[in-house]
Amino acid sequence: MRRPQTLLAASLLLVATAIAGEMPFPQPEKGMVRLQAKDSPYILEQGVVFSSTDTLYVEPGVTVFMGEYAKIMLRGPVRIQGTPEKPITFRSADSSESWNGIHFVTSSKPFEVRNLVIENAFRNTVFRTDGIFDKVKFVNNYYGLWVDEVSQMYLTDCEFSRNRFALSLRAANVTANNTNISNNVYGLYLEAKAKFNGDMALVTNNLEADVRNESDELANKGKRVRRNIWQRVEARF
Amino acid sequence: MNFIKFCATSAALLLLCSCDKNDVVLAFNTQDASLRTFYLESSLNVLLPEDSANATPESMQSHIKVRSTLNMLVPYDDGSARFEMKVDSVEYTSDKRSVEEFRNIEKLVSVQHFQFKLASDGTISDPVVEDAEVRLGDDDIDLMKVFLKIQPVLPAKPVSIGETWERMVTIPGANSITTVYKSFTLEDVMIHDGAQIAKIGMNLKYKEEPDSTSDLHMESQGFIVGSGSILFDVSHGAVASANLEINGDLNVKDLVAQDSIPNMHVIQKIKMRSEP
Repeated sequence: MRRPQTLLAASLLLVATAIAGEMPFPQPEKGMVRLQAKDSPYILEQGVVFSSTDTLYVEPGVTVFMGEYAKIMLRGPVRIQGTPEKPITFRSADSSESWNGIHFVTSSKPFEVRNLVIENAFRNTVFRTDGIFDKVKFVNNYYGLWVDEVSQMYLTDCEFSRNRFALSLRAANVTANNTNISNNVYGLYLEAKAKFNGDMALVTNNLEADVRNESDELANKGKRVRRNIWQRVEARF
Repeated sequence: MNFIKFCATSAALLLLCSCDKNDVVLAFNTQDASLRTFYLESSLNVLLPEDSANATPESMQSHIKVRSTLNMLVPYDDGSARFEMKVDSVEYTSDKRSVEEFRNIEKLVSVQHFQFKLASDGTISDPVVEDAEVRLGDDDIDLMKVFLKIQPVLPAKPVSIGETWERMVTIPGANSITTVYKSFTLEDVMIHDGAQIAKIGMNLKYKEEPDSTSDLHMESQGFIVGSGSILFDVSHGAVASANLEINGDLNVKDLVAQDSIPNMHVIQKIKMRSEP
């Protein structure tokens, strides 16, 4: 008897939330999550992890509101492709709170993301994964995009604005085409073995610095331990 | 039949006689433990001294303080029980991170509620973070690891003051398991606020091994060692307070930057206190 009651309660909650205006972010089912424009906006309160066999498919025009603990970890195939008229948006539900961020760890499957806006996240990352961001806007994040151990990533017609650290690279090779990195606190943050191939004239008007090179800064101070190393030593204890 | 009864009675008397009247039975309450509030703190100081390889001394200091609630979920027939440690609040600071990063770490730690099976001798098995979606990165703080370091293991038999016992415990990490050798000495037994309290000295040692899946290899020079003391509330079967200071030297090899940083000295101070 309990199961139908539970199902009924869950259905009522779903309907009530939908009527209230926000559809709960669905969990992967049969290896797929499909976010549809007709059900938008969605809300994600906690973390969601897509395994290497789970696909995230987002239709153009979808908006996802993120709770302060929300985090999307993508290990499987990704299809996030908005259109110029109907971009896809991930942003915090409460503009005074940041959410954790979106993390691309799709490894053997390169990602292709088009016409997406990511706002108010703490840190968005690409780790050990190649891919393309096309016409993607990173707005008002703490780390707009952190690229780590990536052999080749492309940014085309992207914009980074009002981030604390717009684009941070570590052991990464990033090619940028017509990508504006302006009006952030720091534009490019280059850590060890970082390569940025792009028009530096578009990395401009950033409040503190357009380009920060960690190795040079440390060498000038006679220091050698990078921020990342301190943090990882701390994490081991 | 009378002979068997005689033998059984003699064996019981022999066991009782072998147990000194000053012996203390130390055991966690795993049958009807009530809620306890825990305060867990860890201060970390990492130093890179000035030497021929380093022109400038460098250091990092960080501190985390967590208030949590320990709740016994279910007792088992074998005398153990499943417990849940639920995080109530987190305060974090570091001189190598920004205030925004403090807040992000506090958020990440505040969802690290974990469960474990606790035997009456303090052996912890099957520790697991409740939310499967909490995946810790290379630079994320692991609250469960700090707790497992300071959690004592108790002797399997009654002990008297001065007696020692040793146990090996394993602490799971993101990609590896650390084996920690712990030894304990019962130093004193006292009565405080009507409760019998045992003071236990603790020493530990372990090796930090490089993680082959990581691009940053950290390896301790010999053992990382620690010592501290525990006040164990014998009457309630719970740790009343504990402190532990850990010291060690690390050799760090950054495979990405192809740089080696030897002799990083690490001092970690962990404090834990619990109350009903």
